[in-house]
Amino acid sequence: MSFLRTTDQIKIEFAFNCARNASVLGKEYKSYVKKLPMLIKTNGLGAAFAFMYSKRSKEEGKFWNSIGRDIYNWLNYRNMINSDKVRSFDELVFAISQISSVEYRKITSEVLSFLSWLKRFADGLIEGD
Amino acid sequence: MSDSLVPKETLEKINRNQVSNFALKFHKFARFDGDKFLFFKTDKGKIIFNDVENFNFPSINFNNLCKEISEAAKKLFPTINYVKKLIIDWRLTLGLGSESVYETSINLHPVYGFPYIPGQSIKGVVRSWVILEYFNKDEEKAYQSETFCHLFGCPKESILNKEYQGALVFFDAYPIETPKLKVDVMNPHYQPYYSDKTNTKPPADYYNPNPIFFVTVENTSFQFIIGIKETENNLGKIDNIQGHYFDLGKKFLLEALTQKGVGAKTAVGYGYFK
Repeated sequence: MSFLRTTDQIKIEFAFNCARNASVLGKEYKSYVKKLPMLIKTNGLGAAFAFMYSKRSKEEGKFWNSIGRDIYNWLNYRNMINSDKVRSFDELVFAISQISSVEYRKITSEVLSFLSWLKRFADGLIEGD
Repeated sequence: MSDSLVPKETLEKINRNQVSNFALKFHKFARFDGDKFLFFKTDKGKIIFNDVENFNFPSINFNNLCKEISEAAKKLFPTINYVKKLIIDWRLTLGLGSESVYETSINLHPVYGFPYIPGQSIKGVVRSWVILEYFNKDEEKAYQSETFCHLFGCPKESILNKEYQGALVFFDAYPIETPKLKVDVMNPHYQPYYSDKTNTKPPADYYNPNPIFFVTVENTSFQFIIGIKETENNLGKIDNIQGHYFDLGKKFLLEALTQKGVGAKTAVGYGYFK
């Protein structure tokens, strides 16, 4: 039996740690994680990111910032973004409209699959509804 | 940065005003106006932009589309089929709370891009109307009526003692003519009071009003279709009303659409048909 870890396993562990760290934000965090995949599906990744970005200084900003940071870290970990040029989620928001459609689709599906795990773990780790 | 957040290649080939599918224009080409997404903006009473009104849905022939759908429905339910055309009494807003970067949304057909009323939404309204009107708001009581269970279906905990599929079939309601979209506004004046969790802020007049725009459909006719299999069209009775299931369904559909309303904000007059 091979002990080589699949990308999915790494992703699951990564998402688990993200959700655990985010659990200090409280139960409201869950509703924001659950909202995001739908937002990406209706309005597209670029618009969804810009939406998160536009909330950064509002009260709900702490949730969006946390989710944005996790997404950035994961994409960075997977080497899907050029971390020399794009150094934070805020920069990713602006970079996303400059990349090719192929990359855009790739990142969209990666973000959605990462969020599906983040959502599950947030649901399990954070109590209350 | 452009105000549409679509991939660069897309933006090089097409701009917002060239998009002929309203759902794509509204959702995917959402306009990012500096710090938030807007489809409507005014400045001192002058309209800066309005991405919603005057959209005329080019390349869709609503009349033909509705004919096709009613013919398809007639093939499925050859003898028992009912088509009713009704016009919105004032305005209709559907899918207002769906997730969207605008904060408010509207239900649009995923392929054609026009506003429509999904069949399950109509069924829900009719079913809820029957429970409200004939069973005194009591769902449990409704499950004790055989006719109700046959019409709308029921879970195991009902008089039929088994899960049952409803006999009435509700089709999506499409507009018969080019739908007229209208921007509407709700304007809460005491937002700090509503969102205050500490219960210390009074609903006073020194707060700034906070206009929230949303999209409505007005003055547009829709085509409603229900069907039932002939073998399932038995005689039934709800309250004092007796008749074949299909006739009951027709009656309830009309009542619900005219007296209960579809979609959001029915309490303040949206979503009624006449």
